[in-house]
Amino acid sequence: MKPRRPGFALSAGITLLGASLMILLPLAALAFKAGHAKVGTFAALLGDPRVRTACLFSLGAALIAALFNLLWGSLLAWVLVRYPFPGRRLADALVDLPFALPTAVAGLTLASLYGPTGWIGRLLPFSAVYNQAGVVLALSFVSLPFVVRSLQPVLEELPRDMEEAAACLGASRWATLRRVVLPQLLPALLSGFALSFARAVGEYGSVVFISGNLPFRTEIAPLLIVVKLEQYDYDGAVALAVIMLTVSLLVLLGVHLLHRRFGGASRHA
Amino acid sequence: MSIEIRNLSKRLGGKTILDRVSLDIPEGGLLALLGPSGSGKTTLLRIIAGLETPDEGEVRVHGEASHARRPQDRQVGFVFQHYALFPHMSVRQNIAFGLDVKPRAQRPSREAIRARVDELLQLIQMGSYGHRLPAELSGGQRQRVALARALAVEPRVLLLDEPFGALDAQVRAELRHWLRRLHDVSKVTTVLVTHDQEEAMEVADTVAVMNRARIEQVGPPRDIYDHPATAFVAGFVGQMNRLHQVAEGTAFARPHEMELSLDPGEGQAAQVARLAPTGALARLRLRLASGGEVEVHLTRDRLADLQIAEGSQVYVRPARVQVFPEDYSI
Amino acid sequence: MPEMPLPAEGVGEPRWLRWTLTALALAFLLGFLVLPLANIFHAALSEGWRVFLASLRDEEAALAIRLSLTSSAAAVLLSTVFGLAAAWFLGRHRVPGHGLWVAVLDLPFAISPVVAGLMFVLLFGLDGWFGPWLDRHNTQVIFAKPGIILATAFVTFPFVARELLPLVEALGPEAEEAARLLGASPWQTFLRVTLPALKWGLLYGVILCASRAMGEFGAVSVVSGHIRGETMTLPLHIEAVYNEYQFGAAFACASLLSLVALVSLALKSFVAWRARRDREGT
Repeated sequence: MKPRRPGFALSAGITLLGASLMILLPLAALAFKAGHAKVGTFAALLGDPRVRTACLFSLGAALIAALFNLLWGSLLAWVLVRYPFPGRRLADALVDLPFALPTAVAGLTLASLYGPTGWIGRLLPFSAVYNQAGVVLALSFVSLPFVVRSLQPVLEELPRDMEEAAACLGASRWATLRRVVLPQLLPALLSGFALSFARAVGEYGSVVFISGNLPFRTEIAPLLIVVKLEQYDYDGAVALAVIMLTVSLLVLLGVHLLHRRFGGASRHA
Repeated sequence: MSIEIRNLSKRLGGKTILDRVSLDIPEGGLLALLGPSGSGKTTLLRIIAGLETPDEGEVRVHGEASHARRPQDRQVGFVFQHYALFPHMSVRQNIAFGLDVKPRAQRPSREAIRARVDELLQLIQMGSYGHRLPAELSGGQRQRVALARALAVEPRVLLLDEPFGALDAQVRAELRHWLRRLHDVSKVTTVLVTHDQEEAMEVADTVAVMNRARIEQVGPPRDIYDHPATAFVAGFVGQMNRLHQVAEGTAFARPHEMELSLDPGEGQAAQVARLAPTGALARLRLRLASGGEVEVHLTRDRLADLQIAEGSQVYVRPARVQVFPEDYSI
Repeated sequence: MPEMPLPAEGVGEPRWLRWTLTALALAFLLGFLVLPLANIFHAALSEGWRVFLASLRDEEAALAIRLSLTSSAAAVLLSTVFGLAAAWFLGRHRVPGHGLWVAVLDLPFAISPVVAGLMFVLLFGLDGWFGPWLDRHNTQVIFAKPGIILATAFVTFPFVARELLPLVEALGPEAEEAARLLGASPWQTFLRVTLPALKWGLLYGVILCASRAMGEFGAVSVVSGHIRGETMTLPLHIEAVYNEYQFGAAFACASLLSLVALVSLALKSFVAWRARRDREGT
């Protein structure tokens, strides 16, 4: 008999039991319920203009937020890794703030800050709360760290001699960045973008404070699930949940395949 | 002169990396910068390439001061210890990179680039590897690609930073000979940084030995070996026995310049502590009766004549001694 | 953040560009992250200390704080026990379907909190799988504290496992085997060899888990039923008073949670720094 390492039975028991009860059982309940829902439920759901609008808005707002984060997150990661400046550690720690701050608190303060009497809102020529801009703002805030955190380790491990080699071969700085550095950052950029998008699609807490929750205008898909639950429309809620779950699982599958293809950039919550 | 280096100094964090270094590198020559790690040789090479800036002094390439030029305008080929190949590009794309990024007016046509890459692939004997990625190559192959990439732009100077340092001993030896042949064909002024004295002696026309931020001696390999200028050079290039203090300093002798005898009176009494009779030379470690140890190399014939073994009592004396003033630790 | 060897200055971006980009990044951090944070404390104290303290001493607020603390503690406990076991099981043994299990570990992060809450309603709600059985035994999970604890635990379940798994894999079995050959029992080996090597990672995971648990909103919102003084966690309480236009009270509670967030950030940085120092020291 092959000798087992110590604690095999105990750790296996806890892991399998924990994963089954806490993760797989709830998912099974959702899948079971969805399986029993009539095809008509899904068709009716997708035929409902309010649902369609909410889903499309959720996807669109999450996409814009992820793009926003791609841009600023890349800048932050680059500056944090490449340009030493006093207070860099503090700035680095600060990047995690959106993960540390409860989403409700984030929504609350963003609504006030960008509201008509807020420090920023009063300077703006347009309203940034209780409309679609507010939703994008909240989604960008809560998913900001993903791009920074997936890019940072890759940038840190990029060998410096590669850029020096390109320079010695006569490449301008711009050509070096575009043709040598960027291709190597691409997998990390994509995975940060995808994680950011997946998080933004599912976000609820911060949005309810800043969106005004207006049907056909600022209503997002997770909010609609809550609305349906409050109306005891379980089938509708389940169908909508399955659609959302499918989207985020597909995105994460994409990330997973990306990592398999290009080897491990780090994973982050 | 192809490269003239005048009074280069560089300090970093209170430490002197280069201390008023001057050196002339002749056109078409192959010079090895030899020294232990931390002696400043890599920094010197990086300054020539423009990757680092000196605090004082200047570098002139073909008579033209180069301090104002950025690395990308210097036309130097630089080969890094860890290859620095672009991992997402094929071998062909790597080699063509320097040509591809030239401004449109100077860029050769597509066909010309392809022809040049073909030629270089032949030169590095990797004709059929053009479409591989660097990750699919061995260390020695990667370094050959790096060399071809550096040569593709026809640099005025080729700089090699410990190019074989990351390779196995056997591959090192092969690439060393290959590099020498390549240089004989291409005649590009070349500077090779290495800490391996065998490598420097075998490949270079001229060796510059560096120690503690300064150049201690410059000359042909043979001169360096036979007539070391300082105790450091003597000890770093080949083995050296430190013998005894004399009025002018310390006396040294090479292991193969020691004579062994069984007759008392033919030198100092010693005992054979260790005997390794492999290779062309037998290597003996002798424990002197007066204390201390010396290394002696004998031909196999001489060893057979003497008929000694470990534990034998022998008498040893140097055939030639060299005396150096400072007593550097070797 | 380790000090990275940067490309030589002659190769990098020109100085003016470095300065511009650094300034831009810092301005963004300040405007997009620091300003919202400062706004919380400013708004919390805008109606004076008396209102601030009164809103925290309020009975409902106090109950919400207590519920948030208990459910977070439970979540941390579950996540830690599970995380240690899962990291050990998946990191040390050749488990069939290893990749699949690791993916399962990540699932709670992929699921919208609202959907997570919904799943527990489907399990334990009146119409759910176990609802009728629970009802017969006079036990309530949904719209009650157990549901809140479960929902919180679900969204934070993988935190510890995720931090520990790569550490266990990187650690390798050699040290443990050496300890076993020196005569240590399996438990001694675990407690004296394995656990010390994992301690910073464990602490890091616990901090992440606790701070996320304290702030969880979506999942808890779905299962809580929003019963005042009973099933309101602190984030839910903030929403309730906000909807009643008690902005001062909402921000007072929010400032408390922000303080927790800041402490967790500081702890995280400290732990990451210590872990790196330990790693580089050996």
